[in-house]
Amino acid sequence: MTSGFVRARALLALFPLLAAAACRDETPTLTGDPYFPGGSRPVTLEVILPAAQFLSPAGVFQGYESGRSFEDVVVANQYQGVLNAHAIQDYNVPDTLTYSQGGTTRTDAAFSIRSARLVVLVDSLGSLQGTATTLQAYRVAQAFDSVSATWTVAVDSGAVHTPWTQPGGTRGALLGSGAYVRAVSDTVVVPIDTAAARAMLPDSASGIILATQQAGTRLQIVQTVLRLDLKPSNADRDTTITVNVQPTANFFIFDPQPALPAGSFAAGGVLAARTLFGIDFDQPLPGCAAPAPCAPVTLKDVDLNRVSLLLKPLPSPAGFDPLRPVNLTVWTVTEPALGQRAPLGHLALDPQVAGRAETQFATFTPGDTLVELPLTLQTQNAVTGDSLQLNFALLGETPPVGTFAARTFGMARFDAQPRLRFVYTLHTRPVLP
Amino acid sequence: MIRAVVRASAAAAALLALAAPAGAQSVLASRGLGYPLEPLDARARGLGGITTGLAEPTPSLINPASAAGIPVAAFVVAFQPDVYNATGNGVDASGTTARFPILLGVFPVSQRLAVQVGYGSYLDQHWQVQQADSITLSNGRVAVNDRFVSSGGIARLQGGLSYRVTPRLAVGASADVFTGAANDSIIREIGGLQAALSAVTYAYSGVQGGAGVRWQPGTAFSASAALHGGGHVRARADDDSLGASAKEYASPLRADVGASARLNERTILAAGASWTGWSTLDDELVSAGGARDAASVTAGVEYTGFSFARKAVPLRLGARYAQLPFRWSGTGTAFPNERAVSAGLGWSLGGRAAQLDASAERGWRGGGGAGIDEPYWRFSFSLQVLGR
Repeated sequence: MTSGFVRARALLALFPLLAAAACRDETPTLTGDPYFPGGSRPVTLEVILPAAQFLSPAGVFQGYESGRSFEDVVVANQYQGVLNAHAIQDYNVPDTLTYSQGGTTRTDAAFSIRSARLVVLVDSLGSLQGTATTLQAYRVAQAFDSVSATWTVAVDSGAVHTPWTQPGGTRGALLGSGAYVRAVSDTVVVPIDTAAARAMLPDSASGIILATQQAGTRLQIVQTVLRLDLKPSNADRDTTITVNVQPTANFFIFDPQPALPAGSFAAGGVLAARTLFGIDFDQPLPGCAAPAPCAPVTLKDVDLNRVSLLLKPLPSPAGFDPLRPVNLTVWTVTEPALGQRAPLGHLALDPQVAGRAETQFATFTPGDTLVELPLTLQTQNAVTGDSLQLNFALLGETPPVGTFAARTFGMARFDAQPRLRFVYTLHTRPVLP
Repeated sequence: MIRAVVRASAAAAALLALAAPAGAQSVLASRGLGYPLEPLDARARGLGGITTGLAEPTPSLINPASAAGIPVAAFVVAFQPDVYNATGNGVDASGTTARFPILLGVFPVSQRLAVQVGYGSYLDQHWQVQQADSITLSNGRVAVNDRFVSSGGIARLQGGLSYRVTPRLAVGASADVFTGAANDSIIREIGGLQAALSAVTYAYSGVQGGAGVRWQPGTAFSASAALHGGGHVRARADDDSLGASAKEYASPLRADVGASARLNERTILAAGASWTGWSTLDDELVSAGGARDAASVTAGVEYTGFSFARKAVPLRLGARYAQLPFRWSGTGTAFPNERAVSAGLGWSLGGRAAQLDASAERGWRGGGGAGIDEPYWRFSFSLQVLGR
């Protein structure tokens, strides 16, 4: 073999590099219906099935969470004629003040309180709007257990069972009040008598009840601090130091408990309601647009563009309507027979891309007349899997489900006869020329 | 030598695989059975696209007699990038593409007999069409975008024999096996919903025969002719769930004639013509606009008096006029034609162990009444390696 042949063969090896360039081809693109081969324009159809055709209800449950695990606190006064809720908080005003002045750190146990106020941050979306609301702070006039206290019971710790002498927490003196005007600010300032503040010592058993003065109101409170202006006794000159005291206990009690409405779907709320149900996706679908007669097709015969559950919102139980949007999630359930104890599988709703994030929930906004829960991918997987009968749980909270999950105080409620929507495209094949 | 050719063949196989994703050379790939491609190397392209008629033994998929008398094994591969810009009814498309129109090996068995095995392009079916539309769903009008994508085409795998009957006369025969596939996808994108995708692959099969002759009455003149046809191309879908899934087309008869004359020691004049009887498919393709017989004429001149770096560099000029077999628009409109001028050069390597050729072709497709105007540039590079 000559060296010339070797060089020639090496050159031949360069041709695959040219082939790589071929991968940047731009295929010519025509526009217009006349250029489609015969039979290649897709046909998309839609059918909406009634619940009787596909639905298997498996129960509505709640109690997976409680008011203690709700991330905010709620106060209400005869809201919608039924709901009362009070926040109970406890603060420990420090008995010594440590501060720095002129490069020297000083400790003072004889400081004085010049002013005190509760600074309350309100979740405006989670609160009733358009109604004048005055937030009142009362001293708690009875010892309570922050873990077990309820609307009617101050202490319920096994051996000890002590009812409140006044349901909703036994009120003592009114410490102060402040107006919530949403148009002005989301912050309510409640001035507190300095002597009362001084009494909130670490070893004291006193607390504060937050309530609304006007009937028909409901506020959701995100955060509360006791803000104190302190004057040290040993300062070099007239010095005031502002201190924020966080509550050592902060919970709310309410009455009545939300009732599970019969004959409807429920999701979310303070007690984390959920609805278990089954769907039989194995449905015959029209093979052509009505009214043309044609044989039905199965899910395996079509491309599914959208499969979704259509929910019709119903009024929530009185006092427990969701004032802010509810994030609805649907989870697979493999053992629906376990009822309330049926474990959740995985999220089933189609992923939605919002910005850079991918979410898997649908949002029900109060006032909506229809909520659509897209289950397209779940159905597509079922078509290629073993069974088209799937069980689900509808929840009103987003992952992680459990303590402090993002959920609303109010519950979303829907008609128990949801509809199942299929949007699908028939398989097509171009006719050979 | 055989081992070297085997290695070259292996490289060719790799090229074959890489050639698969090549795109279309013309929007006319969407018409009829596709855009016809000729398995020519860069030398032939530089001479206007002459298909047969050159004097010296040359590997060719068009004329199996062309290789008769080749002294050593040879392998030829061509690489062909294109740039085109089409305007017409419903189209304003530009694109680039690249492909390997010919991969061919020739092996002399004796001084008279040679065998050849090659792979060549035949019909290009890379193209796509889209259309924005809207449909009515329960929540109102929804925008949709439909797209049909065809990817692939028909190629032919050829085996052939050439035999030098006398020093002046050679004959050849070949058998083509049609191969390749068109991968058709239909996509419907619906605003906010999952897209729908239907896909089918039409695999092509079939055979046709070929015969050729080369006559060289003297050293200054050579004439050749070749004939292909007599078979069929069968398209079969990989899925028959939607009814009829196969169709058979007669492979059209194709005749090529060409001749070359040495005008002086340094100049060769070549000319040729071809004719393909596509009209036999006119009835089959009536819904796609029909088909006509397509003829072409080419002429070129090669000058070998120029040298560079102490090596002869043949320079070539050529011109071509061809009829295209499938209409762009429907029946009643004119069939498109193709006109081109070309130039090329060659460069021998390794003591003539290899020849690298290149050509550039400027052409226009369409014509009055055809409804399409598609100017293009087509470049060809080919390498012929001899097993010396």
